[in-house]
Amino acid sequence: VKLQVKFRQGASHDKLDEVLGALVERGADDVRALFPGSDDPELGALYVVEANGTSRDRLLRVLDKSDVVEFAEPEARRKLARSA
Amino acid sequence: MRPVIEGDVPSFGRPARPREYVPGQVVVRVRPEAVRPHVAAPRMALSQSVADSLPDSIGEPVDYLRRNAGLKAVDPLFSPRLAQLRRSRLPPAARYRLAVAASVADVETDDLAGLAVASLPERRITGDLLETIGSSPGVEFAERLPTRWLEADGPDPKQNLQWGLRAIRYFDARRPSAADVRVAILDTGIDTTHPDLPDPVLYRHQGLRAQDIIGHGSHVAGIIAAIANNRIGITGIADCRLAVWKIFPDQPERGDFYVDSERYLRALGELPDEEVAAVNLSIGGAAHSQAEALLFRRLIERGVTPVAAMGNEYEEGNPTSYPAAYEDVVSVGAIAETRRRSRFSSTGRPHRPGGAGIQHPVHRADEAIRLPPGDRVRVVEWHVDGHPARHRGRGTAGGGASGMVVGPDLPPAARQRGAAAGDAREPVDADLRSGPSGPQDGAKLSVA
Repeated sequence: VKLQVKFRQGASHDKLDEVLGALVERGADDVRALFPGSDDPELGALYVVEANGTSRDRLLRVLDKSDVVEFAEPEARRKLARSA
Repeated sequence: MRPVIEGDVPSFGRPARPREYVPGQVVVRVRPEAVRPHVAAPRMALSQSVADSLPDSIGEPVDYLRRNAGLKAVDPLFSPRLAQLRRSRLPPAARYRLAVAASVADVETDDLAGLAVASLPERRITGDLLETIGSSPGVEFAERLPTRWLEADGPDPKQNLQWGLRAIRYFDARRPSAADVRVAILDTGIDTTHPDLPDPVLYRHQGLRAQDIIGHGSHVAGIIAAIANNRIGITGIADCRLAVWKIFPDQPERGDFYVDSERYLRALGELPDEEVAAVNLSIGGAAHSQAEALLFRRLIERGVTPVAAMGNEYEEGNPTSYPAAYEDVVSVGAIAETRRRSRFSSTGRPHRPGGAGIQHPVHRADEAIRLPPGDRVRVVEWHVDGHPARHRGRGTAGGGASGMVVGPDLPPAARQRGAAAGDAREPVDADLRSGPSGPQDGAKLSVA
């Protein structure tokens, strides 16, 4: 399971820690920045959540409830567009 | 006005491929006078004892290459016994020494005697290594094998098969150089050794093999920028530079090729920093993504024109495909050589309820193709047989369109021809949604 998350810019560290803790508690294996080290606030707010032993909906519920999350969505799958 | 001949395509003054040396090859010349006293010419025995009898000034440089530089083979340049040497069951150390000895013993004239080519791992060939070998008293010189290529211009042999070029009136077009324009390709990789493809200015594939996993990315690269008039393969639409991101894992997933999402999204974020004018995306999926939409908005804001495939699922319900359906993305469908929509090609749908279709302001760095904001562009695919990557698919819609974004300045006549199936300013979705028998299906590439 992979989720894509954007946190609100300016969210406090405490609030972020609270969300990250809740994710880990509900089975998230890894939460990582999509653009690590980026000094662009918009890119720096994008994260990927990865989990193997829990359901996508369970994690999304956590994220949807948080007021520091701008959006959270399942990874959108993209396939090579080629004809046979 | 003289007639336009299809082979009459300027080569854009593209510089020759910059590879100076043949990878992994070193030419060594030993001094014949250092060898001849120790071997029985002209039919020197290929034996261990002959190998052992060579003086240190000959044997030591060979042994040094074997021990310290991963020597893989030594081939005498003018010995007729090359095959025999290669088949020899002697240990490598003896075989290499004998190859050098044969380069002298088997050649009668001193002018050609003593020349051999040593094969080494490319990374082991350094200036220091060549200097060490060349400083041996028995060695006259050691140098990298220089690359040479045919200095001949001429039409590309597969150009006549490129009906797409005729469809867009490429041969009537003014083709200003796009050599300072970068087009990004996010795809399965690129074949960096292909003789008809320009070397990419960057190729990001960290953590993955450099190899193009199925040739699709190379195929796209060829449609966009195959080197024109080099007597090889096909003619690319533009002489632009390519920046390539490999966004697919090396292994397919149950036979299907799915994008590695994180690589893909990171590449989208990196594009503006690499100063690309357009990006080609032969990918799609049914789910809208806010993260992806955000990154596309940033591309548009930063002057990058995204070109994406509408998809090939017309017969599977004709789903809306993202990223093609995001606002301001140039979305691309396919036509066949008949100039009618390919039966498999999805048609796209307006992303705004009641909207007149997707609007595509297209900008080119040098304004060769210029569309005022709000104009609509309808771009279509052509199938290219015999493309340089030997990709067996039917072709790639986006490649042509990406080339067009940065490529030739289509003559007004081409635009009129595009309008033969309808006004080029008509909405793109209306054109393609009309189906194979619809009035708009004769569309070619049309920009207005």
